[in-house]
Amino acid sequence: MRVGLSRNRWRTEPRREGILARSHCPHRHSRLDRLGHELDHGMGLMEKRDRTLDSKTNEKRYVSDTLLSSLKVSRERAGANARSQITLALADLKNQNERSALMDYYDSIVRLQRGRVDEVDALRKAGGKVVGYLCMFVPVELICASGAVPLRLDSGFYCTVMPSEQLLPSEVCPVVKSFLGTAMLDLSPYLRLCDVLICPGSCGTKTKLSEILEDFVPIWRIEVPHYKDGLSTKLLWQHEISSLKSKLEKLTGQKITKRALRRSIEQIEEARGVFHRFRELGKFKSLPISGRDAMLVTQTMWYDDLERWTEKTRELCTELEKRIQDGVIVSHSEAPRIMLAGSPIIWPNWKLPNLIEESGAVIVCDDLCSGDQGILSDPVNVDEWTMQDMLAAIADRYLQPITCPCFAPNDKRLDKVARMVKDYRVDGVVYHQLRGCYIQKIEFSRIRSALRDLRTPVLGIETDYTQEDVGQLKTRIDAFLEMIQSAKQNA
Amino acid sequence: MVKTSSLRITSQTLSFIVINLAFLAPLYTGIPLAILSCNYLKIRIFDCFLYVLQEGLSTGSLAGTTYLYNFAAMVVVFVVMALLLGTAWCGWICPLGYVQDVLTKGRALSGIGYYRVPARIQRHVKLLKYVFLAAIVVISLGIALPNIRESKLRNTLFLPLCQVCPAKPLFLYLQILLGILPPTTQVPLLSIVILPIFLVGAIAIRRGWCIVCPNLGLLSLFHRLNAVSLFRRRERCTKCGTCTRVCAMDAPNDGIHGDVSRPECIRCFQCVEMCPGNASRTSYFFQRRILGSKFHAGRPVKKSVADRA
Repeated sequence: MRVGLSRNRWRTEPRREGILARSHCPHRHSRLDRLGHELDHGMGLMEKRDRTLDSKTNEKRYVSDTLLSSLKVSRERAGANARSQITLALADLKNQNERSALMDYYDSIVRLQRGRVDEVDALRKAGGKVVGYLCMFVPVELICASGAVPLRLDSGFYCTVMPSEQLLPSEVCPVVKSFLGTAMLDLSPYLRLCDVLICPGSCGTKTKLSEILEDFVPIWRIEVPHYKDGLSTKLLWQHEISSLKSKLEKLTGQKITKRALRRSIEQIEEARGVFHRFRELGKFKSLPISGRDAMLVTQTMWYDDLERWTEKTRELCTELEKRIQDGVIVSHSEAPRIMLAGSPIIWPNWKLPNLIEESGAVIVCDDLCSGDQGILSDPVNVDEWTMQDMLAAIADRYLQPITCPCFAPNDKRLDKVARMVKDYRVDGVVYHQLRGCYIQKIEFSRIRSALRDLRTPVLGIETDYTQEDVGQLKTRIDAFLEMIQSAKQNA
Repeated sequence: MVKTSSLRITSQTLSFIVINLAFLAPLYTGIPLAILSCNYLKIRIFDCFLYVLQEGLSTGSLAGTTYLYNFAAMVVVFVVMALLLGTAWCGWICPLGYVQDVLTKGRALSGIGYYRVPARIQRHVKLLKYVFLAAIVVISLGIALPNIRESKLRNTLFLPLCQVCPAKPLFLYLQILLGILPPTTQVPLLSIVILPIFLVGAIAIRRGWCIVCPNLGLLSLFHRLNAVSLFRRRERCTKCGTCTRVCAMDAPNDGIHGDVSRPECIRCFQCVEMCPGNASRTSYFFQRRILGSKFHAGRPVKKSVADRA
């Protein structure tokens, strides 16, 4: 009887396991897809487990409710401080002579109020998705192709460092501290609008940041391989990219088609063309735009609609090229030409560029991931416009040419710095080191010796998200520039 | 500025027309080219060197001194050609390569991806071309031995490559279709079986046949002496990995600089065209620079296929 029953059950039960089930799987086209599918499946389980964990134990969270409520008091003051930091940085920029009227557009975007924020908010209310990201390992092409709005959300606020120090040790780099503080104080208008935040695990602190931020916003992590020539590096990274694609598709509910992806790659390539036309201006003997304004233009791309940014920057290029013909310049042709390198300089932390340019030098180029080495520095080089090749090209672009010090070996960075020193005829390099950004500090000695071979002086500056060291920095920068000037006159 | 890839496809199309469609039939020269252009075509201008080689090795010693001198002259002509252009014959002229490139283009346009042979397999598979080359030479010499040359085995094994080469059915059937050859033309059965494998292989793997092609094996023996060279300058290279990805022959490019031409490089210069580094990849012909990569940004892209649809 029992045997018969079980036999019947075996017969009537749909066969779900084994080869048949696999052949019904919608993702059976390639090994990679299958792996992505398995990954998604695993991810779903993880999410489920996390949610149960969340509801059970509140104390497993990093940011407790008590901590958040204690911060509510200082929120008003911090908001006012952040606004005044932006206003002061903008006032410094507006004080420059011969500043182009077209810069108003960029000023309005980096004010981080109204305008663009309302626009994103309206988009979101209309059903659009907003995807925030940190670092420059996130393929913006994919986000654009999925129809979501990409926003890079690194933070440069000084006043938000303090509250996050209740959680993080003081040795942690201020970029991470400031961003976490922004989240804790709910100060960033864009973070509030984000449906999801993509956190690449570039350095140790960013990895942990992704864990803490889970208390505020849904997080997608990207595993960044640190050895580019590792055996499985390419495979791992390609899987990361394709799984990001399927996650984006799930978020927006629409498939990333070949057509959409191609269009977004071409759109970013167009923006890149304009960006490089703009950067070419730095090679002139006297510049039509100051270096800090140029950095502002570059960074505006993080927040703004890409098409509009491209249009506006094209207009700006046309005007600046006309200025060169007319001889309207903002910098003295004898002014020391400075290159910035090292840790990212994120709006509104415009302290260092302001100090350098107010002392009479001019920033002609930079080696910062927040500036020239950002998303628009290298192309997504597609050979065949098939989905496979586009994804492979995107994967290559967001790993291989990046010279973040989180990679080893990172010899390419030395070549890149040397090339920029030659191309932009740089007189001196200012190496910006944020306190706690240890990988940048480790690379400093190597970059210094590489630049010594080129007979280019370097000034290593260690600083933090604070206004306290401005006087001391000014003295050091003045001395450095004086040295360059005298060397130039002797030559 | 004309793109290298357009130049190449033009050169391939022209050679295909000249070599295989026999418009210039009365101009038969008898010169063996270092490419797989079939010798069985009714009207042709050039010979296939591998045919000449096989025939020479099998019958050379028996056919008298005039034939031997003739054969030696053919070999000299081939060596000069191999030294001048080397594997560029495969990338720019070979009609079999052209067919594969056209199929690849068609596949890419229809949006289907290709199969990338994993490096660890590729490393072993690409040695097959030398095995095939050695087999051709050994068999051709072997059937000239006194015991064998009288037996039935000689007829079975005579011209071993021509019995399997996909170029033979491909181009013969083409000429039959065009009415140049009579429909009764004999084609070896084995090569007819191999033809669909070749066609599917060319669609699935970029330049699939070339991985095992004995003609490329023969040419690549000269690759160190090749006059067409390919260089990479370390200080201009951004290490973006484009050259490795776009290489149809999957020639390993990572982590090397200086002379980066590999034995399997067919000098298609797709890597030079795609390289975003200014003068990072360059090509020289006898120390004279013929090509160099150019920095490109915001390259005017052709209107998307998507937009037209």
